Amino acid sequence: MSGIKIIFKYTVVVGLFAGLYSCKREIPKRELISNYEINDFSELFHVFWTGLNTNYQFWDVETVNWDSMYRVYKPKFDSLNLRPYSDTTTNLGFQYMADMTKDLKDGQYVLQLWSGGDYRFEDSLYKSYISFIPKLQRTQRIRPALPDTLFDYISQYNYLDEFDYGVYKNYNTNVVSQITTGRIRKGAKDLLYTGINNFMLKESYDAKYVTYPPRPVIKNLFDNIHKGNCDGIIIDLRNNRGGNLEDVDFFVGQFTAKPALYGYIRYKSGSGRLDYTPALPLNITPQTGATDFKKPIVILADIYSSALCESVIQAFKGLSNTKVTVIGERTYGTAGLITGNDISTNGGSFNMGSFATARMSNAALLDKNHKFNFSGISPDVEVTYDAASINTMLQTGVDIQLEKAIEFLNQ
Amino acid sequence: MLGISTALLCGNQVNAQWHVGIETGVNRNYLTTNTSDKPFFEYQPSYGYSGGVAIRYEFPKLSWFGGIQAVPTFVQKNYRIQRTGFYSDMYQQTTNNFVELPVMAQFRFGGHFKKEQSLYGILNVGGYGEYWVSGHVKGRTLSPMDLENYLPFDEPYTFNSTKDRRFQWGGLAGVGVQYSPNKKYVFSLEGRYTPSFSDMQKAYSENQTPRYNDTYSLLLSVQCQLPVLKHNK
Repeated sequence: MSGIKIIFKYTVVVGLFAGLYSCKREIPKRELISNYEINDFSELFHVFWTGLNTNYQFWDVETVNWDSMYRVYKPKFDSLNLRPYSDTTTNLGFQYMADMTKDLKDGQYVLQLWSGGDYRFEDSLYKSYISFIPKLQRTQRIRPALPDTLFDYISQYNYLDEFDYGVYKNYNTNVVSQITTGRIRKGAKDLLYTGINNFMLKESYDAKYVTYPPRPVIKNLFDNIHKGNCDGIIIDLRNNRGGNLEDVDFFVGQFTAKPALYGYIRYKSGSGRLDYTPALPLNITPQTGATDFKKPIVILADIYSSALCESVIQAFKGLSNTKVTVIGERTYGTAGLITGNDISTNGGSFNMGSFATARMSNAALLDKNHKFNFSGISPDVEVTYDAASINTMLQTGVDIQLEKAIEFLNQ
Repeated sequence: MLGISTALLCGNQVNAQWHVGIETGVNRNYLTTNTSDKPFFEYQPSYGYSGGVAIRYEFPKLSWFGGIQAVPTFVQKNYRIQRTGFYSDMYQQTTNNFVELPVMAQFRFGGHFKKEQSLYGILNVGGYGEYWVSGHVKGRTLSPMDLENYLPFDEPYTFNSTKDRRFQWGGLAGVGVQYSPNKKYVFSLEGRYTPSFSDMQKAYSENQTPRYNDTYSLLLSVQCQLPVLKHNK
């Protein structure tokens, strides 16, 4: 009898352990994206899909169904392997990648195929293109960007007294930064004007050995802002495509004596599609000598005011003691930043071997109301340029957006 | 309140079958997954604690069988995301609070060594289900506008119903010792391993890498036998 008891006892114990062991877990091993060489189209698809799946910032608010893309496009890429490698298969691969990502909301998204290729996008054929930038290409369909030199020329010759400017070139990136300042000669009010074509203010302020040094121009502008010796200021950020992140504080921090909340930022926190850090507050840091600027500020913006430029506009709108009005057009709508590097931020750009690169935001920006800025910042007073008004500007030298700003501040 | 109730119950004549008590302990939770696609990134184990009410039904005729035990428990299962190397200033400490119901069969080895005293080696085998109640995240991440510095955060975790799984389940296995100074009280000290068999996340995307909590606990339990209810005949 005791023998049966012992057998029963051990049978129960062994049975329970066997039951537990049967619940074993499978954890597939993951691979660094950079480890893939891209030897065929299936591998290209795997890296492209996985890279976006893990590194993209906006999946929680995205309307593109990325799992559906997996199911639809994986067989298509696999089938390309069955055909001889040629320009045709490369173009097809490029086309599939463009089709998969054409509706992504991230305004920083760029797909680059290093060998170049042809693809169709919204009924146009883009032939021998290296880059696919859906947001920019859609914006260019509204109207082409007006060159900085056009605005500079018109403002300098038709609108400004005490005109001054500085030019700085970063020889690593070949990006040229220019700042123009002056006093508006039209209207009864004493209005300051500054035009900034991109945000390399701090970098150009610190630069030495520059032919047209921006430092005294910037210093003079900041002194005027600190003293508030004007009736208002027009900040011209049209066609400003962003720049260095430090400029949010360096520039907007001249207008306030105390920190001001203007938005939130979040990063990826892991490789899961929905792994995010909490949204963390972004505050303007007041700069040395800054006082609360009490005069009205008008920001001129257009459909090419993008990336960090939009953060600067949001930061201005975060100033609690200052009336800030945006005049012009709805901004580009970037919603994300490229900061630090893609390892530190757990997300952002990645390479597909030497075949292609996907560039995108590695930090997501939310406004004060915890909303993403996918469709751009709406102007408070809308004044748009179209082909006819651009022609008029070219013939008469009258900038209708700047005219509106002057009129607004003279009311 | 629980202690008072238990003491009152223990003050009377005892029933040999039901035991009720308190179980508390500390644990170290490991998040088991694969992160080899993320450089300078690792999940590290963290300490947590637990406290619960132990209820055990014993079969007196089976001395080798300690009975069936359930322990409704509040338990923390915490982990840390630690960036390593150049990025070691960045981390995220996650605290997860669960209400858990472990149910186990208890096997005993050993027996009486004095008149009323007994000392057993115990082996608990079973499983658990748990419900995620709340979470908290604390950490430090990149400051985008000033890369020399970091942004700290310390706030409640917001449950994401698309991604996070509220109900989880797993197995348990524990070994320990059980000491009874008399027929009324039972003390036990146990080391318990509770692997989760359900992914912490819902299956919300293709090619998803699962994440499991593996928890190692050191538990101290005090139980007493419940009094027999007398019925008037």
